[in-house]
Amino acid sequence: MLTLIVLTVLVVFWTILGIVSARWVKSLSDYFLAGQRMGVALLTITILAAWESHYTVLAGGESGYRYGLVGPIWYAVAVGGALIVLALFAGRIKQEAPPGTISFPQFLRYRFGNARVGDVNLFEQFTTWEILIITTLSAASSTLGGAYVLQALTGMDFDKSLLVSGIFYLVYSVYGGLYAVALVDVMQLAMIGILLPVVALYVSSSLGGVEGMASGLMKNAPELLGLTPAAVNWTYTFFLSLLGGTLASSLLWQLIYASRDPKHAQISLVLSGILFMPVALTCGFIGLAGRAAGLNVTPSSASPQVVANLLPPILGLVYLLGFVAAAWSTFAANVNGTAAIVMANVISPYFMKDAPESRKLLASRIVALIFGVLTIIIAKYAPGILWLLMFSYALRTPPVIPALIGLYTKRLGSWGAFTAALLGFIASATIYLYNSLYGTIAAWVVPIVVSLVFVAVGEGR
Amino acid sequence: MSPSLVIAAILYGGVVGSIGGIVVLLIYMLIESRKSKGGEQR
Repeated sequence: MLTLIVLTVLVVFWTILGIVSARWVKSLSDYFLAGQRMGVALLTITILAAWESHYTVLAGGESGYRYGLVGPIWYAVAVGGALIVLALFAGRIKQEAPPGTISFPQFLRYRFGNARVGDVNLFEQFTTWEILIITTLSAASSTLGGAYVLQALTGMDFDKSLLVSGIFYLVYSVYGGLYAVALVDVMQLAMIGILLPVVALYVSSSLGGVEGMASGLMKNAPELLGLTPAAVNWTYTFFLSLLGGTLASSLLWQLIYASRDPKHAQISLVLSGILFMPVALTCGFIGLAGRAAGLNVTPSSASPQVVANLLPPILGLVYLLGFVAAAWSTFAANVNGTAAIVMANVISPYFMKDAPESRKLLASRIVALIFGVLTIIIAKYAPGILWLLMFSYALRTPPVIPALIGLYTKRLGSWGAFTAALLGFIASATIYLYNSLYGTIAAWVVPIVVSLVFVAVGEGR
Repeated sequence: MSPSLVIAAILYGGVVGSIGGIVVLLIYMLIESRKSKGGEQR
């Protein structure tokens, strides 16, 4: 009962905040890019809140539980490092885009617009639908994460949790656009940044402090004090897939366009990478504590299990509420990103060419709503969170490789970029079904090789 | 390196970094909002 009351108050608070901030949303560009006025602080907060999701809490905990001491450290370095690598390209991404660009496919239309059959721009259509599939999968994983925790929290059945989690959040993300997401993210970041450390400290003291944890690990899982072969293998696959997913993140490209200037975007990405690391460490620590306590659980549920087993109920409740907030925040950012892409590449150019801004704004809200509902349906039938995420990461990488190469050389033309992305997508999607590591490698190698062949031939000149 | 030293680094690095990160962001936000207000007045 107490759980439901706290949850309702929280949801009502966030929704009102979103609706109030909707008053600031004046035009379509405002809605998606917060009017291209986002400074370093707001940009960093939005990136962090989109990145710090239920996945960090679950996967971070899993890294500590599965791989021991090396898990949380590598998790933190890999996630933060990938954001910092993107910062290297951010200046170019912002500089090379024409004014008014709000999506990754729009940039591709500008840079590689000549691969056409009749009126249809092939590359643009391919990436639009590819990104839509990926973003929908990713949003579905957020919904699923939120629903699992809500279920644990309230004891409601799964279908009801899924519906409640989806509907409440949709209301404010559809109403307030990126401003609402950004504003509410401030609250949620504060919750995660303060809550998780409190949980970690409490867990540590309940196990007898650092010394107690060390002796617990030595007794229950001594192999995890060193580097196991499984951990070494994991470090490669994890970094590769994470780097691909980060570089190809449509959400991050959109936020780079939303920055005031390239420098703002770069500083924000580096700052996000650095600030993300301690959060990942804390999540990993909680999983590690599960090992030290001798819990025998499914690795991906290590974090909530530690909380359920070692924390007093009230602190557990607060932790779980923070978890739901993180999952919902990622969900809203994904839904808005999806709506931006559909509006810019499908509806505006083909169906609403001369429509007034007010009608376009209404249309974009309807699109966001439809995709929100779609993600809830996918979440209901998907096999699991990790399945959704890994699948989307493998499919993310191919089109971004020719795009990045194209930022630096004019020799890569439209047909070369399209061929590289298409072949990479087909190769990784097929191979991934048989072997996830080889599928991830194919997503990198095929587009790089094909792009470089076209650069060598010099098709773009 | 002793295990308890690494565990301490993970725990306190995470705790101090997380809370410190929030403080840094809040200060940054305050400075930026002051700057943009100053710009409007000019």
